[in-house]
Amino acid sequence: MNAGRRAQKAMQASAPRWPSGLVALSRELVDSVGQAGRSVVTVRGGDGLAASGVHWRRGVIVTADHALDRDDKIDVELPDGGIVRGALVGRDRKMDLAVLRIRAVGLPTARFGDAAALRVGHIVLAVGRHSERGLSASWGVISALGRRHAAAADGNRSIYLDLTIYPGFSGGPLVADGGRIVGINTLGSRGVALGIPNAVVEDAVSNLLQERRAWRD
Amino acid sequence: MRPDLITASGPLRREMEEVARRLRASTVKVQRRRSGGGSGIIWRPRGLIVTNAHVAPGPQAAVKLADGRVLIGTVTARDYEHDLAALWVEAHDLPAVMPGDSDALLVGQLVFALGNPRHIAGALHVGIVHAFGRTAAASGRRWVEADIDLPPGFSGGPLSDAAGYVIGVNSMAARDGRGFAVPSKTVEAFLSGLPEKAVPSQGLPHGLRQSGQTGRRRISES
Repeated sequence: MNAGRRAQKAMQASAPRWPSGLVALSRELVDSVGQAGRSVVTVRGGDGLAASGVHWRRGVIVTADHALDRDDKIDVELPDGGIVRGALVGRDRKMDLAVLRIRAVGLPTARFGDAAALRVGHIVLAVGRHSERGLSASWGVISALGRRHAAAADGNRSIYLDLTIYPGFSGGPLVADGGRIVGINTLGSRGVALGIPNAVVEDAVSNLLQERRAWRD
Repeated sequence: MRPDLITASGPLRREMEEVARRLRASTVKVQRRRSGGGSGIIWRPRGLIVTNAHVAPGPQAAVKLADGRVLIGTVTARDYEHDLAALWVEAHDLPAVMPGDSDALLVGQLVFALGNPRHIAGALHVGIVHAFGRTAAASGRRWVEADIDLPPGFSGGPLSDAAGYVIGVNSMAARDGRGFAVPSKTVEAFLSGLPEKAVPSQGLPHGLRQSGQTGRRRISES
């Protein structure tokens, strides 16, 4: 056996054996994408690029307000390929959030994590869903936690992200440990990547649903 | 993600050092007389280097190994459609990469790229698999798309998984930040027709094979 083959065999012999730390981290990232992705949809609310959305509560989709060009003819594409009509409940322009109602047969709701446990430096994922390509992801770290939203309660800090919000990623989930959803991704002013923490999204969802109910009654 | 994996002195840091060491040993710098150039991958110990077709457009190229040796690489096959080229250098004991299975890749998986940007020898970038793409043309080719920065000089270099298996040849970058790599399965198919060693006697191209159309719709130069 020549030196080159010996070198190659030596490299193979000393290759990381499962579960090395890097391989374990890699698997965790893959699992997190899959886990969170089960409740991620594609939202088509206008011509041009679609956005992502999260099945927040049964029959309720959260997405990005800026991705909805219009108030009707909004289509929601599900993970299994099905397409359902989304009925606009309301928009929160300040938060860049919009809430839709759908008939959600069999679609899992989001599994939430604790956004208050996030720290600067934690590795997180942004997950998006495209019509043809299915799930896609980007990764990075929490770069800062701050008080941006005047109405934010204690602990509901804006999440500044060092990761890429790809086209179509707005409205999709910010994902932390175990594939748990800790916020909704959006692009802030000057293109900074932001995560809106769960509690802030939850408030917006409750308010919009309540307004819609009040309007109907 | 699990904080204990990420501590500054943890085992992860040593593993990262090891990944960098292996990839640097198996990555070459492909030099062009004019500006540009890029990287290449030692695919077989007996002197076979794989790179992008656009990194080695001529019949020969200077290949700088990690140990400093500069050898003349002779291009024996080129495929513009898949942006691949095979070069041979006169060496018999090179540290070749371990090819992996690009078909088994999953979104979210860690990937590492090694390249030679200007004035830097052997730079490591880290990212994750973003998606799998088909080209806009109906060629049915699949790309490995990664959420990873691939600046100029990374073309032709390796994309490996967390275990050090090379699952792609870095090819180009999109303006939105995605990096594109030719899948290792495509590389294996490209190489499967080549003889074991094809260094011609006079240094002239021998058995030069060119398939597909010249030029491609590249999103941005890499």
